[in-house]
Amino acid sequence: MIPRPQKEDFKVISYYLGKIVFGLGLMMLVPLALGLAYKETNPSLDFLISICITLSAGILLTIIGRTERDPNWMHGMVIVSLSWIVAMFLGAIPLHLSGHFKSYLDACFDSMSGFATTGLALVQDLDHISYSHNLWRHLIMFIGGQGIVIIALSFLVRGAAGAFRIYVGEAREEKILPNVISTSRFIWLVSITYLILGTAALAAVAVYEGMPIKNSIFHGVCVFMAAFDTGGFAPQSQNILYYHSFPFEIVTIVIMLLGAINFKLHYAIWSGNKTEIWRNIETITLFITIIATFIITAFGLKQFNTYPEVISFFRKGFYQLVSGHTGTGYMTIYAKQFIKEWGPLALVGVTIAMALGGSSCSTTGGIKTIRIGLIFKAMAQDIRRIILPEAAIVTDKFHHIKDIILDDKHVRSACLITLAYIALYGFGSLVGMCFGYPFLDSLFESTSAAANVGLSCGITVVDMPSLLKITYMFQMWAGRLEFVSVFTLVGFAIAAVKGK
Amino acid sequence: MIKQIIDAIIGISIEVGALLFTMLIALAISWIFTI
Repeated sequence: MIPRPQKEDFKVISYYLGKIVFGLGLMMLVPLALGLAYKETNPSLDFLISICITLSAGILLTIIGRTERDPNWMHGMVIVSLSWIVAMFLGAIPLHLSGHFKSYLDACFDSMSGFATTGLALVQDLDHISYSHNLWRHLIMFIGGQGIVIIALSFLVRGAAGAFRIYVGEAREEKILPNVISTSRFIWLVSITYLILGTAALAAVAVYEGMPIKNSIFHGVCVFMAAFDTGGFAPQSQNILYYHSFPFEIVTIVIMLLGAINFKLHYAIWSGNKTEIWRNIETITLFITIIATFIITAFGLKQFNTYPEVISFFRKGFYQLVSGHTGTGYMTIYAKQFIKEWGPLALVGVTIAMALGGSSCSTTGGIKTIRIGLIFKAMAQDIRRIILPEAAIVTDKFHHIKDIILDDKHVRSACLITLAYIALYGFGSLVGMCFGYPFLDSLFESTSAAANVGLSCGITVVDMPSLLKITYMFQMWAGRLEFVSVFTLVGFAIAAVKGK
Repeated sequence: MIKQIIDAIIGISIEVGALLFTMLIALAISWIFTI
């Protein structure tokens, strides 16, 4: 028998959801300020309307749910999964009001793509969108990459004992510091430090390439936010191809890879643990999988002799690969080139890279390299068990900040999440195929959506079927939250209807 | 405080250096596949 949720459960969820929505409303002040500074009257009004709606919703939810109770594990999971849906609807309001979207569904698609740091986009005439709307597109990537609840934990929830339960719901099971609020603040410290350095580097390159200083800073901020948070939106419709700059591509590769590193690893290295990057199972696996998938992709590109020169091979082949592996989705080619010029093997190489993803507790999506590393370790351990005498005790350990004994529970958890991701990739592919798209194209686009990457082979366009748009939106949401909180929300909804 | 800032600067250098090293290997692979 499933117990039906009590009124108090709904109040706790409403209270914390209200806090998060309120935080989102405050974030909208940033593009509003830019709009006013650039004298963009109509876009500023769009944001004023959106801020009023979002702040009102936040205040209303907080008042309705006013409670002293801390959230339990179930509350935390439900709050997180709901907050991402609510954020999508509210974040889409200014986008829809911009007039650059065919429908509210398309604005919601871009909003979810932004918050989930995916990068698939349905925006129209992007090259003529206002500065403030363009900044909002990138800011939602930054918010989503940091984690929507990180904002609330950092600024709005003070000393709440249940904060950790909300934090975990957002697919971050690792605490960097003993206190989860300090952890959230450290994540901000890393991001802001790299925001300053990355923006300066990108703006300097843009100025060097001949862009006016004002535009260079704007492009630098936007591209940094989308690259570090492994999002993939760009200020121009041609994405990174717009810049036609090798140094700009090198800087974005570094930023994308930095975004794919575990925040816990950043903390260890920044605290003086200099050798951690060479010993950590995540970074070792990330390095091996990047090189391995690049070799597969390179074989595919070689078959078709797509890029006969070394620099173009690196700039097109490796860039797309890193962009896919880190879950960013920045492109230096046109979407259709994947199908027309790359060939199936290269496409499979990038698809595997996208499916694997970056590190846990980073801003990337996908299976995550720590799980891949653990599964391979467990396989090696099992092979040793078979080879060695039956009486031999086989134990293994892995290094992730400290040495940890490889336990069945680690492997079980890694296998379960890996299976769930594979099922999600397959589900999207099936839906794509039902709409008549070829298998490899469907698999590529589905993996890109579910692993929050954003590379597109041309399926994601304004005229794609609405059901496919909704499927990709679901994949982005479930993939970003790593299933547990999504399953909890489903369980909560069933309990609310059928529970006793 | 100063030690923390120095550690952070060294940490950033290590991270960026490691990533540039990865890129160098990728460039070498690109070269192998284009000869």
